[in-house]
Amino acid sequence: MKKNKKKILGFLILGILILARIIIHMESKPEIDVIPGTMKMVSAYEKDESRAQIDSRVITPFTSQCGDAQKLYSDINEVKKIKSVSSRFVNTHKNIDGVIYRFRFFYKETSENEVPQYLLYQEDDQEEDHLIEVSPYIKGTKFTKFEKKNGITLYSEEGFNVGLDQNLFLHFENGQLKKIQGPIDGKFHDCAY
Amino acid sequence: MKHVLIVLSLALTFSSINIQAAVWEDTQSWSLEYEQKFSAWMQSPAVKENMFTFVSSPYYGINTDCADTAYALRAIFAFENKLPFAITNPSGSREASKSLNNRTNKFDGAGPENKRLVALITEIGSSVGTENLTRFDTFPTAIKKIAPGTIFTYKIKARFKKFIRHAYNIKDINPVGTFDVIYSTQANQEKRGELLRRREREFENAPSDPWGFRKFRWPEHLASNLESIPQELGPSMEQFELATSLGENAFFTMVRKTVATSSESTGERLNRLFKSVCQEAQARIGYVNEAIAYLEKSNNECMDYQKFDAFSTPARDAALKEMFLKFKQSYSEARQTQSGDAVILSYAESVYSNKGDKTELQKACPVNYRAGVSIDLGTLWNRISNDLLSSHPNDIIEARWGEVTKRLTKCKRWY
Repeated sequence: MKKNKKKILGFLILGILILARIIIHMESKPEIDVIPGTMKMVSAYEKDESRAQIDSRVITPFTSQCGDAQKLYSDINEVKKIKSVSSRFVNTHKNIDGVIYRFRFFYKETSENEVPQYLLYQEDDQEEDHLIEVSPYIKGTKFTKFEKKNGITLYSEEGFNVGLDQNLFLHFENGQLKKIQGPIDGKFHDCAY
Repeated sequence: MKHVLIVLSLALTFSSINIQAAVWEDTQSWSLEYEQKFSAWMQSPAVKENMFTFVSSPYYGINTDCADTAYALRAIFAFENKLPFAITNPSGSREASKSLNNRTNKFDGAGPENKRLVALITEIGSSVGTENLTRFDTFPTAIKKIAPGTIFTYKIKARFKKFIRHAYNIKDINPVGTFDVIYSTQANQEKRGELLRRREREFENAPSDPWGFRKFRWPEHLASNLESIPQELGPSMEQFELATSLGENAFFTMVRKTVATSSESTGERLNRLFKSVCQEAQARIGYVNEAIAYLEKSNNECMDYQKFDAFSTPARDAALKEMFLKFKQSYSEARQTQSGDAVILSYAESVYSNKGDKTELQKACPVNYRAGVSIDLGTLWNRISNDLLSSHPNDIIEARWGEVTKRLTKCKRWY
């Protein structure tokens, strides 16, 4: 009788274990179509307990890459020589006859394209910039007038896109690298310096 | 007495000149709770298409394109909740002026608080675009953290080595994982139109670092590494890795399933995509007619770069084609699984086999693009798949819709 009880209990435990295994297997089954070879990533993604691992995997490495990336692109003059480089925006602050003007150039997107935009700001005595001219496509009259005047450059800032797909972004302030964003050798970067 | 009055009035004049006011005073700080409130506000009826165009709206007069809309919504929420608002200073971050923020007094002349806010947003609109939004003022988010208020930005190649960039604001996430988006475009800004809305949007253009799903940085996180952003907000580069490894279709399928709260059957998806194709096809009537109206006004003058830019439709035509392809794929899946609404299946068959009676399809989604001419989606797809539609804004309406392939414009195609 005792032996029978033990047997029943054993079967019960075995049954529970098998049932648990089936449930775990069903839950871990991916519910969506995936490209071969990528199933592990997606199925892990959909399970909360695996999420924490993915988050830490994708967040931690970027800082360690930032130092290496900085070495590659720290010299603005070398960056300007890269064949695929394109300037995305330029900010220059100039003291002209005691008045500080800020010249800005950047690309503003449009429905189907992008257009250059030129802005001129004048600073007040508290270094607050006041926008005094906006000119799409071509430089405005004030922008042109003050740009021609000699003055002391107080600050310069420039952003570049680099690469065939223009995916890598480099940001310099006064010739110093401040930001790298985008892929380098297949690794994604978002580094501030 | 006369002198006393003069002195008093002078004193009053100077004192009023010297009054300096922030755009608004911030008394609160950003927190996870406020981020949740921001999401709830985005979902609420307060964020609506006419919030900038309705005359009695406190924000009447704001006129935005795509990136500006994202900045405007964030600024308005910050304003209403006495929160700080700051973006990387577009004119340059020299010394004291690291950011353009709500504490500036440079909009004093604009009038009361809400008008100063309008002035701030207007200046932001002139000074930045999606590049600033994506590169400086937002951070990439983990997919699981996508919420109302998250922005989706993208950059795609256009002709002649140019790029097209755009930003959508996620107003809400539908139960099946599609997005309810509110946004604007440059063309919409030009005509001072209401904000645009698509309630069942599925995105194309997979994330490509740094373009993709992004959230606003708090003022204290501007110009800093991702690791300075609280983990609870979900800063993550995972979307770029996943998009690269999965490819566009699988990536967006994964996003949809991750953010969904209920599953969508193959048949339901087919229904939804039919509606989307119909909506986009009919929306093209408006885009094209804007160009035709301009041509009538300008006596058919060849458009310069600026006008060409505003009225041509290559990217929108490509998006419409993409939508037809999604519908086709969904149709194929529905046939394989023998599921779906029989009526929608018959519509899909009419569209892609180009056979049979199209009367019902025509009734379900007429594309009435010029007086007396209405085509069905099958006819439109036939023209799209044979590259017959013209995106050139100088073309006559028949050519724009692929009805004729001769008599095309000789005006310059700028890109």
